[in-house]
Amino acid sequence: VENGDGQMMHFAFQLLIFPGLLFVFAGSQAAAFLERKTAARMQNRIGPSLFQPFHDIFKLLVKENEPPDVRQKGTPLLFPFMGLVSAACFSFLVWRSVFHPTTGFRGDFFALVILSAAASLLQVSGVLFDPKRAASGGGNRFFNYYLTAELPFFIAAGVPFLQAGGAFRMGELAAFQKTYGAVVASASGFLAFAAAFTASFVVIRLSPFNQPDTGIEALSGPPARCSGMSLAVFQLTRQIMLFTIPAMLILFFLGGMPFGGFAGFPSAAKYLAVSVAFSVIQNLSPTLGLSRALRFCLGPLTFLSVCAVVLSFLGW
Amino acid sequence: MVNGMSLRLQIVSRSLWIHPAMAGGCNGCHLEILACLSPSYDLERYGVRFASCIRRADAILISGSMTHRNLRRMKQIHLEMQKPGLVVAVGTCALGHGIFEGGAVVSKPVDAILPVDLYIPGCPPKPEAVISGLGKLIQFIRLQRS
Repeated sequence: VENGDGQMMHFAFQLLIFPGLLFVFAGSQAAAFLERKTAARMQNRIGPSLFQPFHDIFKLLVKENEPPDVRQKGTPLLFPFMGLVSAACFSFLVWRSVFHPTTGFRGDFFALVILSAAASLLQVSGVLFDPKRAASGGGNRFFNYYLTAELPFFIAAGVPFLQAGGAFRMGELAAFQKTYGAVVASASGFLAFAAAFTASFVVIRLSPFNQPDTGIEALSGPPARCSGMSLAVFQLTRQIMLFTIPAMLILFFLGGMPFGGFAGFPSAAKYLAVSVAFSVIQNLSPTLGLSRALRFCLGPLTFLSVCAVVLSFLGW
Repeated sequence: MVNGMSLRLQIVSRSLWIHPAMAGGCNGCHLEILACLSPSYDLERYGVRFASCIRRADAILISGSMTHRNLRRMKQIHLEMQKPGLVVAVGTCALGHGIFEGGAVVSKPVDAILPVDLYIPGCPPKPEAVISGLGKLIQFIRLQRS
């Protein structure tokens, strides 16, 4: 019984403190700060203070919360809140795989991929019922944009699964990469990483390559009528995804993040490099409209990920 | 200076999102407000950000002479702002003076219609003046706590 209680306490500690809710919240605020600071430095600005993202979220939580439309009873808050819960679960599973690779369950590899999609899709589902066309139209466009980007992401995620000989557990994938090197070192792994990295921008609700038209048409649409607590939920979900997606990409393609002893430094460097790369690429200058972004996701990006899967079948 | 001082307002002062609203006039003050948000002045370092939607704003920066046509719109904008919210009158015209004073289309100064928390005079006020005014407003709110 004592052993059972100890295990329960250990799991509760993992769920609530580390790498659970408290860690995810603190990390998401740090990721938001890193994103805004990187953008500021690229624009030759000083940028926000370290605690500014936290102040923003806290302020939104205490502000008056008015639903966008009185005809909608709970949907403006319910769906974003479900998205937030999905994002928190997703983040907890990813970071638990980082710090405790052997504690996963059978099928957690697929659970991670599906939860990453559920968080973003649930978040915008509420606005599809919005009678205001600006919001529901934005939601529709986001769905189109998201699903076209998710296709290459799903296909590319199959490459580490195939290379590791059908690894259903994250622990098996970590063990494979420890023995045979990172997935990205192979030709198929490199192509898959490139496709998954580019598609991940949409999962985080960033506009890749600074697509201003897409940013306005699709990504700003869903939270267009939110304010107060509902906007805080939207922002927090996005920040959690921003904090977690780089870790997932590293787990899948870049050999994982061992944190024992001196191995922690290269792991932290890898994480910082991927996180900063998201912000830097987001602020680059080429511009694409929504229709061109959709064609880009369905065309070259999907082709790239299919090539990666074919190469992995051939053993490259 | 500040109406309805509360703990929530002090929390808002650490993350002030502003929404510039143009009540009429020559648009000069409006451009100076937008200049504050450019990389040269970088208002974000003080926690101040631009809110494209009035529902997300914590402060409205009203500039220009209030015309009869915009009177109802400004009242509506103020109503839609989620509480607690602040009103800042920017420029000499918004204060009831300026080159359009006494014009046929000009109705009243901003403080005759809405409860103004901060006045920033100037024709137009420089971005430094706008930033200084907002800084004083934030400082004043925080000092109330101590």
